[in-house]
Amino acid sequence: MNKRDFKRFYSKNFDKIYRFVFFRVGGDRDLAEDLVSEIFVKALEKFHTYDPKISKVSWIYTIAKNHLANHFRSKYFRDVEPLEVDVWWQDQTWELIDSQADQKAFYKMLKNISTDEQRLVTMKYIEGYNYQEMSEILGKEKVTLRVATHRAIAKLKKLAKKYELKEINQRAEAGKPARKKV
Amino acid sequence: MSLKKLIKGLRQESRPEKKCKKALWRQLDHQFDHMYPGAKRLVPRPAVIIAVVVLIAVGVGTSTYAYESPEVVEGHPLNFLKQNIENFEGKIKFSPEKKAEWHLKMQDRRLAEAEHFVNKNDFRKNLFEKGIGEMGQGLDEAKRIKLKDKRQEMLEHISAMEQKHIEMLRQIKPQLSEYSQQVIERIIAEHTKRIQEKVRGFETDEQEQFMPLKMRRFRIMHVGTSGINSSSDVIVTADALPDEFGNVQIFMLQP
Repeated sequence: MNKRDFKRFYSKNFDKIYRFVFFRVGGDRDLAEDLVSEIFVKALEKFHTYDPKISKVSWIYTIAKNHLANHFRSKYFRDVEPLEVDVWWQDQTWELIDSQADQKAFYKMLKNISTDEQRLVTMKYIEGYNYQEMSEILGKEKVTLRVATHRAIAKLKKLAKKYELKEINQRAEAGKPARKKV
Repeated sequence: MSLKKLIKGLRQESRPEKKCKKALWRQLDHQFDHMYPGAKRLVPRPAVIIAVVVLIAVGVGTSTYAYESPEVVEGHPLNFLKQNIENFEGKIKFSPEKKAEWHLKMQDRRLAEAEHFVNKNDFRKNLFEKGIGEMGQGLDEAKRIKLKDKRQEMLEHISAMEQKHIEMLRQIKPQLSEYSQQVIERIIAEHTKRIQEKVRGFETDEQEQFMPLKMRRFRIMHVGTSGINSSSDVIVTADALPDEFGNVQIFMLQP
C-alpha cells in the first residue's frame, strides 16, 4: 500500500461519493462536504483492508452508505438501515438547492418512476458510475442493469414530453409565448 | 425540454467544489503520513513488519495519550501532537454547524485542562482565556447557519454549554487565590462584553434564547430618600455567578 494508490482511489471516487451524499442531504453543500470528509477519513483509517481486486467501488460506497445511515440515525433519533439510504434522497426537501425550475421538474418526474429505476438513473447519469461499477454495487448482471436503465430513461422521456405539453398549455392560458428551445 | 439537458444541469449543480476536494486531499495526505509511516518502503519481511506494527502502536498510543490527557498543554513535549490532531479535526469541518460544534468542543477541552491544573494548585490564565474565547468563535459560526431552526438549535446548545462552564467556574473559584479570582473575573467581564456585541447580530427572538446573557444583565435602581432617582444597567461578572438555584447576589458599595 502506498500513498499513490490512495490518491488514485481518492480522485476516482471523490466526485461520485460527493454526489451520492449531496442528493441525500437535500443539497446542503456544507453538510455534504463535512460528511464526505468524514467518509474519506474513515476510508483512510481502513485503507489497509482495501483490496481493489475484490472490490473497486463498492467498498467506499458501503462506507458512505453506513456513514449516512449513522448520520440520519443521530439526526432523526430512529433506526435507519443503510438500505434505506439508497433511496433516501427522494424524501429530502430541496430548500437549499439553488436549482432552476426545470431541474426541480426533473426531480418531480423522477418521483413518478419506481425507486429501483430512480436509483439506476441517478447512479448512471448523475453520480457517474458505469455499468460494471453498478453491477458490483448492486450485485446484478451488467446486461440486466443496462436494459432496466434504458427502460427507466424511456419512461422519463415520456414524462418530460407530458410536462412540456402541460407547460405550453399553461403559458398559452396565461397569454405568454412558448419557450424557445435552446 | 430535453432530458439530456436537465440531467446535465443537475450534474453541474451537484458538482463538488475543486477547492474542497483539494483541501480535503491536503488533510488526508498529511494524515496518511501519520497513520502509515514508512508505507512506501514496506518490505514483507517479518522483522520489518513487526517493527512497523510496533511503531504504529507506539505512534497511535502516544497520539491518543497526547489528545486525551489534560496534562498535555503548552510547554509539554507532546503538545504539538495534540494541536495537530485538534487542527486536523477543525480543518475537516466545512459547515458552520460543525465548525461551531468544534469550537464548543475546544472550549470544553481547554476549560477541562484549566480545571485539571487548578486541582493541582496551578492557575493557568491562558487556558481560561483560550477556552472562553472559543465560545465567541462558536457564535460567529452559528451566525452563518442559513436555516433559522438549525441556528436556534445551535444557540440553545451554546447557551447550555455556557451554563455548564459557569457552573464549573463557580465550583473551582473557592480554590483560587484572590489574585487568580480577579483575573478570572476580568477575563469573564471582557468575554461577556464581546459576547453581547456578537449576540446583537442575531434576530431579537434568538437573542432572548441566549439565556446566559439574560441571567447576567440587571437593571439596578438607585433609591434615595425621595424615591428612585437613577438607574443603570450592570453586567455581573464572576462575583455574581448563580448558585444551584439560579440566584445571584450583587453587592453594591455605593448606591
